[in-house]
Amino acid sequence: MVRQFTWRGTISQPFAIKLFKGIWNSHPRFATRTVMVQNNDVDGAFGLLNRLMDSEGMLKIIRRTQFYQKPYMQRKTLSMEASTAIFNEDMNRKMKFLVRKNRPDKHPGQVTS
Amino acid sequence: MSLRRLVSDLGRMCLQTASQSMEIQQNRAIHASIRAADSIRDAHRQGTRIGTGQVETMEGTTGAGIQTAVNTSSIDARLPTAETLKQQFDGVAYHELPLVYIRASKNNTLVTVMDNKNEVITSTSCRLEGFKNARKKTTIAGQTTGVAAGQRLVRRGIRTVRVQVKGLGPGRMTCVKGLTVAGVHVVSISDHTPLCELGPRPRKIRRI
Repeated sequence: MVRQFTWRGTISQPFAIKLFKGIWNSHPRFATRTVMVQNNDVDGAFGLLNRLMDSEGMLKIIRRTQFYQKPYMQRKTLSMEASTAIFNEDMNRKMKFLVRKNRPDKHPGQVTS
Repeated sequence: MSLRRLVSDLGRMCLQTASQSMEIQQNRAIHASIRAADSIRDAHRQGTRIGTGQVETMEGTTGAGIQTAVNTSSIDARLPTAETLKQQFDGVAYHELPLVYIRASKNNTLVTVMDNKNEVITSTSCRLEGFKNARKKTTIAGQTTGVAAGQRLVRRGIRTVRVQVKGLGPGRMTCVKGLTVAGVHVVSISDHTPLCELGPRPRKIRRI
């Protein structure tokens, strides 16, 4: 059976080097996505490996390409990411303001006599 | 990983590897303004002359705002370099160590051990270790498969391996844990999960 339709990922990769055809053979084996295990500490090595893969966006790609996302789902995902970014930015600013210490003015913006 | 790859390439060109740590340090001082304590009424009493106040740094807050240094040297020490491929582990060079391929899918965990000449030493799976149907997809089944594979390796005299993991199934971490429980020394863990972003269209989403 010849596949006539090829799904080109429309959501771009968040971080790191963009994927391209033949990306596997372009990199030597055991040089990328490899963590050396120290003192037979497998859990620590897996923790580091999963953290690096997550920060570079690989886990996101693996989970997203498990099932086909319909176009409205892709748009919804993009919208959710944008909304989450805006919310996080606002909440970070609020928390930075509220946890300030050693304030020169205890009530900024308030008129005092 | 990009910086690691660049440093590895540079090391391969210069025949030496320079592992550097990145120090990101930021110092932010809190400024105090005398004019901030005044009110609008006091400003109007002086005849609406609102000048800029004197800005100075308050004592007692010298250390405020210093962020912690981002030091990646502990992570860089655990990533492979160009010399790792020739490094000896228990008397065997790294590129000659036996390979343990672990395929941890959602419903099963398969282990295949190959030597460096790509010949199968042994292979096992959850079903061969007595787990059938839904019990194949548990972490216990994954660990048991790892322990069984490790015991066969120890019986054959192979005690140092490198592991390559594929997939995000439940047996992903517990299978390698089972190898170490059986007495096999795991040198490195590589991830080889396929990244099919540019590949064919994935399967239809499950209708739940």
